Amino acid sequence: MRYIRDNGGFSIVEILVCMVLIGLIVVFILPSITFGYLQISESGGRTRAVYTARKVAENELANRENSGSDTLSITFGDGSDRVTINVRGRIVETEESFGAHGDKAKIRLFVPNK
Amino acid sequence: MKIRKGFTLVELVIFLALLGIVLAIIFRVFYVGHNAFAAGSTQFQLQSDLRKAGDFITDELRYAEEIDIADSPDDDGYCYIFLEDSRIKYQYKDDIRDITDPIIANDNIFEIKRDSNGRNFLSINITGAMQGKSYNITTEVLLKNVSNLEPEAGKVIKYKKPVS
Repeated sequence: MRYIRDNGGFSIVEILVCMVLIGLIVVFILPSITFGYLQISESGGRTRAVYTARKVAENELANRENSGSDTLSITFGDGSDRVTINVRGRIVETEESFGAHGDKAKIRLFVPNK
Repeated sequence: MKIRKGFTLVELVIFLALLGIVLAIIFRVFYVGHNAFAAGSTQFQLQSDLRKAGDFITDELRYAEEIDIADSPDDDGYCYIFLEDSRIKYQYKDDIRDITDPIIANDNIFEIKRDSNGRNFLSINITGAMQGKSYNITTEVLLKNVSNLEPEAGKVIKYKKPVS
């Protein structure tokens, strides 16, 4: 073994340490490779939650009452031609959670009175 | 066996073994990366296709008139959205277009519902499946220009666009 040291090469111990380090680096890099897939799944969950929230919102929209106490103001034109219309109704919020971190998709809409 | 330069057989064997291990690790990383990418792009295609179909159906039907569940599409001047060969398609007269790729796994994607006041909803339930992945969306849309339709489910829906 003497001449190996004389040639200034690496010892077997050095090589093994190097391989262990490569292994550790790989273990830490692997999760970042699958991160993209997790993000895509998460966005799928978001889409599904939005559709579910929309379903609830559509049902609220059909359910028009007279008791809404919120006001929606719409202003047309500007300057002296300005016209403002006030509509009475109620503000409805629907919320649907998704994903592992409890994120929420929220829809807020105005349901005019009958 | 006096050798001045070069490697012994044992050294070569150790070198090859170590090289094999390192290559195996590198290959594994690429393999996992490739699988993750393939799974991601499949899932993405499923999700974007179903979302596109859901938005299209919602936009088309919300203000539609003369809505009915039909048995099969026709070129009679009504608009049709229907399921055929696992695709969601749209037909108006002789113009037929694909809305999704052939990934739809369920059959009755449409259901007309009616509430106690006689207002109608269209319930849309689409499941897509592709290369071992699946995805599902469910939503409802209030049909503003029809009322008192009988509840019914099916895979072909016909309607007329509102006159603008």
